[in-house]
This record gives sequence, structure tokens and C-alpha cells, in this order.
Amino acid sequence: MSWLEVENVSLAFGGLKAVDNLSFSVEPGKVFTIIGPNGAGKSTVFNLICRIYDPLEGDIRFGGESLLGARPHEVINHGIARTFQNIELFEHASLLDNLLIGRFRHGRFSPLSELFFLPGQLRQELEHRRKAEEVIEFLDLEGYRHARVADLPYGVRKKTEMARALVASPEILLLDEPSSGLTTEETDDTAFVIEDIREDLGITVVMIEHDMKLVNKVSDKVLAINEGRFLATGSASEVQDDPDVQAAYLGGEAA
Amino acid sequence: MRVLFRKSYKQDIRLFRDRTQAFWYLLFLCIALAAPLFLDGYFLDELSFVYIYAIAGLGLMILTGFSGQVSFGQAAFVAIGAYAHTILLSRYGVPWILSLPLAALITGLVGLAIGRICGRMHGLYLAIATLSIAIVTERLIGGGGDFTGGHRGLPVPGIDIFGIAIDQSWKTYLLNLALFVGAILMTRNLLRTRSGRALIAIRDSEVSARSLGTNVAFYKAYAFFLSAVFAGLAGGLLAHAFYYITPETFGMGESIRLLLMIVVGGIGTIHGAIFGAFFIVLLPTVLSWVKVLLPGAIATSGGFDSLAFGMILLGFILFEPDGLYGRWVKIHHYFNVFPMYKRRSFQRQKTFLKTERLK
Repeated sequence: MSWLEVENVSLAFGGLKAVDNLSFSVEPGKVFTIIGPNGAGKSTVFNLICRIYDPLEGDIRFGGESLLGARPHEVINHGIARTFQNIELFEHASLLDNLLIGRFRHGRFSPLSELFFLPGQLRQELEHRRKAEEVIEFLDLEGYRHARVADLPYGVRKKTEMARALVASPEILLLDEPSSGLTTEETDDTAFVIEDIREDLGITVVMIEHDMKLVNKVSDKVLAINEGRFLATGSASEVQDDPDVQAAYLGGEAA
Repeated sequence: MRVLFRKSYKQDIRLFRDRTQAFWYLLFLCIALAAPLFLDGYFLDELSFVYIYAIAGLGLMILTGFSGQVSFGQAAFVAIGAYAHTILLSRYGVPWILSLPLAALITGLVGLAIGRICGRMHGLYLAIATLSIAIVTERLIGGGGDFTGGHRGLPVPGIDIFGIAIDQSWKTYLLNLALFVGAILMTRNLLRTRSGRALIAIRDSEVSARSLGTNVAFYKAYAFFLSAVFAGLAGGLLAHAFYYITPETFGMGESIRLLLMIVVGGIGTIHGAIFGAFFIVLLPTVLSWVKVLLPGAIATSGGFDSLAFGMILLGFILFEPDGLYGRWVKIHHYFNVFPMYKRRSFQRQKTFLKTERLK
């Protein structure tokens, strides 16, 4: 079980300080939620963890190992999988193919074996297929296996993205606004799913979320940030009662 | 209407969806194998061209259709394959059976190098870069002096496999057919395994492909490599079909024709490359029939063929972007669900708003 540690990380886009000396750590096996008003730098934090951006200073470690040496496509090998705020699925492939791409890290580049479909390939494919099926069952996606992702309703696409991250069998899952664009029912469903991911799969969850009902329901720990800076951390209710957080959301004098 | 009942994971993995599908494809294969019995030399040669173009088309499909990199340079790879094969055969006396794979490999390596460079570009920039490769290759071959035969060209030796001369239409036909079927199977295998899925992932969303562990630059270059291998193979076969090769045979127009081929056939599908090959090879024949019916002033004017090509491409882009294969799927669906067909079944919903996309 590994801790995710973000230590004194800063990032600026030109003159704009997107993340300013931010530190936090995520305990394994817990649900950690990042909240904050629009433009607070929440997604940027995810993009920093996933190595899309290079921090100006500070360090990001997972399981004691710094991630800063990893290239973006190597982050998943540390056991870190993510979803995106605006759904980045492979639109023209079937749901099943999307999940099978999620298995990418569990394979090696072996061109000849692939092009001639040598016997070992079939064994591997069956294994990937079995793993994909487990996740399909876990997220109730049975009805959509062979549907083209572009044709699926939004809620299902959202779930598909989560499924794709899960088939990679990560240690930690970064969810960028899992409930945005979902109906109330689907949001409730998402809460159960996140709890199941933590309880049944033992995967640590870091999520960015605006829906406070969902946050209250599933979070073990909440971090509030604004303008890239640390505001407060603690349980969901503690953070909501924090005067700095209230000021950030509602305006007015910061205490 | 048949509903497929899946009982095993293998059904999602194996080549054919079900027995009916396997039956049809095997029937087609049998007809193709038996074609020399009932077709004369002219048609066999035409079909050979279809197969060769389809191999080059499959290569381009891997690059453009599956990995999403537009290429106007496919004919350059065909040319490199054709010249490498011819030079290996006639100048170095390499046996045919070695020379063809070697030529394909050489082409592949050139493709790999170009892929490494061009893989960073997208869309229009990539199109222009590959277009320039097509032009430069043609010039280089033309200026190659005695080594490439320059603009005079090179004669192509006959095919000889282990002492058996492949010198009649039906023999070359069967050879081309065998390699064509091999190319289809390889493409199919690629698509049902890890690398093929990586290519599709890169096409649809580079950022999430990366987040799942795909080394985007590497797989883009791999797509170029495979595409060039297929083109090189097609080039070698095409050289034999032409008997004599000149750089102009593989000019820019040819590259555009190949791209046109996969667009008209149906981009992003294996069928598309094959349908497109039939279309591109048989179209001049059909046009020559049409010309007979037209007034002489129009039929004999120089740009008629280009105009017809352009109009057809335009028509497909406007009315059937999914190409011939897309149309076939719709017709198939129409009969499958008759009389319940709705045009709506194939209308795509608007894609959701994508903001903050990371390139």
C-alpha cells in the first residue's frame, strides 16, 4: 500500500500561478477529495501527478518513489490511473475495445507474435477479456459491451471511462469530477461505485468533485484549494465549516 | 434478424463472428481461388492490380485509418519497395523469395525513420510533410543515375520461385492473391491485439492513450513502419505487374489516388481498403465505357478522368463519409431489420462539448 505525496509543488502558466506551494498526502485505501471553486487548480494537480505538466518546484512521490522521472506514459506503470473531466474515450471503438486498451500496461510489445497471432496471444487476449468482463460486471455495463462508445449515453460513457481506468488494475485511481453531467440517480450510483472501489477492490481514490452531497457521502478526507493554494483539510464537515473555504466560495473577507 | 448469442470469450477474439460469416468469407476465397478457371488473362491481371492496390491500401489504412495520421506519401513507399525489389533482383541477383521481404523491410525502415520525424505533426502539417516526401522520393529516384535507372526507368526481371517461373497471368494472380490474403490476416491480427488497439487509442485521444501507458511517439512510428512494409510489398508486386518501372509511375498523383481509395472505400475499416482497391482499379475501365457515350469534345479532353475522380471523391465526402463499406453496412442493415429500417439508426449524436482538450 503506497502513499501519494505531493510536496511543495508549484506551477505557473506565464504570470499565472496555477499551483502555489501545495502539499498534501493521500493515505492508502482511502477516498481523498479535492474541492475548490472554478479555476482553483484542481485538474492541474491531476495533470501534475500524471506528468502532463512539469512542476516548477517540489516533488510528487508515490510509494516513496518520485514520479518526476517518469514520462507521461510511464505513470500508469506506477499504478496510477485516471479519468478526465470531459471524457476522453476512444469514440470510434466499442466499449469492450476501450476496456482492452485499458489493459495496455499488462502486455509487452511483441510485433511478430501479434501480426501472426501466435498461440501465446490467444492466451493473453483471453486473460485481458476475462479481466475486462470482471470490470464490466462490477460497473453493470453488460448491456453495452459491443456498442460503439460514440453512441452511448453520457452517464454510461462516464462509467466506461472509470471502467477503462479500473481494468488497468491500478493502486490509485484519480477521478476528475466523476459526477459532472450526471443525473441525480446516476450520481447516487457513482457514490456506491466509489465506495465499492475502495472497499472491494482496495483501490485508493483521489477525486475532484463539486457535488457536496457526493463528497460528504464518500470522502474520508477533503482538501480545499483556491487559486492553487492550500485552504483547509480534514473531514468533509470540517472543511465546509472552515471560514477560509466559505470565503473562497461565497466571497467576502478572507479571515 | 439474427441476434448473436455469445457463449465464449473466444467469440470476441477469433477471426469470424459466427459460422455464417465464416462461410461467406471462405466462399469468397474459394471463388477468388477458382477465378483462373473461368476468367481470361485480362481480367486476371485487373484483379491482380486490385489485390496489389489493396495491400498498399491496407498499409495506408493502418496509418491513416487506424492511427489517424493522414499521409499523402504512400506512393513514395510503394516506389521505394518497387525499386528496392527490382534492384535487389537484377543488380544483386538476390532470389525472389528473399528479395521481396527484404524490399518490404527496407521500405519499412525508411517509413520508421520518416515516422519518427513526422509523428510529432498533426493534420494539415502532417499532410504537407508526407506530400513533400512523395515529391522528394520521386525526384531522388529520377536523379539516381544508373543505380535507379533515372527517368529512363528500370526493366523488371520475371518472378522465379525456387526455379519455378511465375510467367503466366494465372500464376501471378494466385501469387498476388496469396499475399493479399496474408496482408488482410496480418492487419486483422494487428487490430485484435495490443498494438492495434494502441493505434486506435492514439487516433481517438492521444492524451488518454498516454495515460493508459501508450508511448505515443513510438506507436506512431510503428504505424509508419507497418504501413511502409505493406507499401513496399505492394511495390515489389506492382513492379512485376508493370514489367518496367519509372519514377513517374509512383508520382504524387498516385499517392492521392491511394488516399482517395481508402476514403471512398470507407476509412477505418479493413473492408474499406479492399472495396477502395476495386473501385480505383476498375474505375478507369468504367470511365472508358462512359466516354464512349459522351460527345467527343468532352471525352477526349485531358482532364476528364481527374474531374471524374474529384467529383466522385467530393460526392463521397458530402453524402457518404463512411465510404462504400459504410454504404454496404447500411444496405445490409436495411435488409436485416426490414421493414423497420430508420435512417436515424446511423445518424450520430452530436459529440459532447470538449473543452480544455490537451493535445
